[in-house]
Amino acid sequence: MLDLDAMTLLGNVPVGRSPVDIDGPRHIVLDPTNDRAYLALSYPFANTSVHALSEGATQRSGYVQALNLSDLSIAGDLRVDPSAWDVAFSAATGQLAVAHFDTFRALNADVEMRRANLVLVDPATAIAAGNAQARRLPVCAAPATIAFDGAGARLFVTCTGEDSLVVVDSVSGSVLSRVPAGAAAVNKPYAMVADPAQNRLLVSNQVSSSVSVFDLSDTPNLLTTSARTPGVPMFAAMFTDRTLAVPFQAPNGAALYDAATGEELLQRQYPDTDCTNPAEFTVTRDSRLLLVCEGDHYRPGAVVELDPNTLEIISSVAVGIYPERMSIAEP
Amino acid sequence: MKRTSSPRSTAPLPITAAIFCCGLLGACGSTPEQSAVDQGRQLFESKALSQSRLNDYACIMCHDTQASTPPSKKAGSALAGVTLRSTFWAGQEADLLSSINACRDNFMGDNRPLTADDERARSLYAYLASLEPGDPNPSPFTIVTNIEPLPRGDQANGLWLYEQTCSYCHGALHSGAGRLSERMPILPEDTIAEHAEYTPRVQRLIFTEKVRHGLFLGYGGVMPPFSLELLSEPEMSDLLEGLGATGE
Repeated sequence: MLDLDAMTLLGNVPVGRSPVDIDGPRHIVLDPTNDRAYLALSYPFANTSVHALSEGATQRSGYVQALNLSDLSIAGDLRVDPSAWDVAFSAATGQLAVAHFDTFRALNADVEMRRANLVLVDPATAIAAGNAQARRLPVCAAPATIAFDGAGARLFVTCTGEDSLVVVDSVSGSVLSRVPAGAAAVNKPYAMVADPAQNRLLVSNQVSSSVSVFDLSDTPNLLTTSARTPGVPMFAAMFTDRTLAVPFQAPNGAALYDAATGEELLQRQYPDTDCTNPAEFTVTRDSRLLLVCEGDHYRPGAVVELDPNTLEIISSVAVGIYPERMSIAEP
Repeated sequence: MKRTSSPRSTAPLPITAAIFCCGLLGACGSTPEQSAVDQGRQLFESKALSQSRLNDYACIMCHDTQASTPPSKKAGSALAGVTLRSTFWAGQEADLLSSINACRDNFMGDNRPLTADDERARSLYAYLASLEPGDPNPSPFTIVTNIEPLPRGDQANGLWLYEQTCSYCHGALHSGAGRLSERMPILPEDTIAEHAEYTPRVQRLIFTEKVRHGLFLGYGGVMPPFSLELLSEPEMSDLLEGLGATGE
């Protein structure tokens, strides 16, 4: 937990279910109305023991854990599927969705067998109450990230294993459309966010090295494609209504693009000492530009603030190992 | 399942009432006289903290109450001062009750967590608080994640270490005499037999893996892990020698 005004670390609390194994917490989403936060526990398959593997060690089920937002103490959890990766919460409906980036399942020969489930929990508050029901919907191969529309009626899913963007009716659970994730022959979508105004989806494609901007219709229309990023693009953000901020990795850097034309406006790269593996941009209500830096996954990463005019790092706070995404609790 | 007939259908009222009173007296005869500390001690020393029929453990088997010199070889830390500690399980648990529930879930087969208002939790807390003063600092607990081949060790010290770390649960070496239950493998024979398809070199790694990881990191079972602070790498080499897991 950070104080973003002072750019200081307030403290950290352990999450997860196992005191020894790596729980692999990923995206955290907030429900301030009910004093809850939800995060996905991915339990990454990292067993290097040949013996344990030969005796049957395999993927573990993921979990969604509910936390009390006031002190981040654990309020409850719900077992979902392996490789629980991303969570999305709809403030409009109180529904929670979980995507499973299951790259083991994606190796199946049969197309349907490749498809991992989307889990819907309605209402999300049932997780802490201990009576949550997980509704499972096979959606696509290796779904990576998800986002609700403003009304909570539609759920958008980046499907890394099918190179597509999928739209799901969150009430009926039916797939409304599957569209290519970008204009290139191969795009490989991974990161995706919906802008706060709920007008645009920003889909970062790892092979085409670009950000595809879609509208949020039932069959999303591709509005713009950014110019090619120097590295692998990650979680982008709308810095202004006309400017797109995109972090990229290998090399470490960030760039601003014109949201209408896709033209690059500004670009800066960072040495490993300042920001290794930039992962996610967040724009605060007062228009500060914050960037999560994963680090090298062995030493602590950081959250840095950038000067929006130059993209220079103007302040930095170290956090734990392998941070990926952040959520802001407004006072 | 055979059912017994209801006493209400056959017994006159006074007998029914007498049975009821005996039950009440039975409860009253023990509970009110015990302080929470005493009840907590009983929970600490017995298997009653878990409601699983498969549980073989009590807290006392893995934890001393007071730290000793030289330090005990029990898998868990000494508990005097534990109520003052800020974190547990090497910082992976933020509160004492969660860390106790982690033990109950992983080792004692009971995944129904105690809540803060549960009488057992309150009694156990009262007992643990009664152990103070103690060490209020979180106990170091480093898990050896990567299992690597170790150099040969000292057999005599390994046999001593077996007595200190293994025999409480596994019983005497080779015979299992005095082991905690029949579910505990006789060492080293049962483990070698279960892994007969592996070479002696790999079997030595398997012994190391089991001691270092316990049930975690993909191994399974109910055994606690032995941290680097509890068992140094040279001591691990010695223990392997004591077990006869020479790799040859």
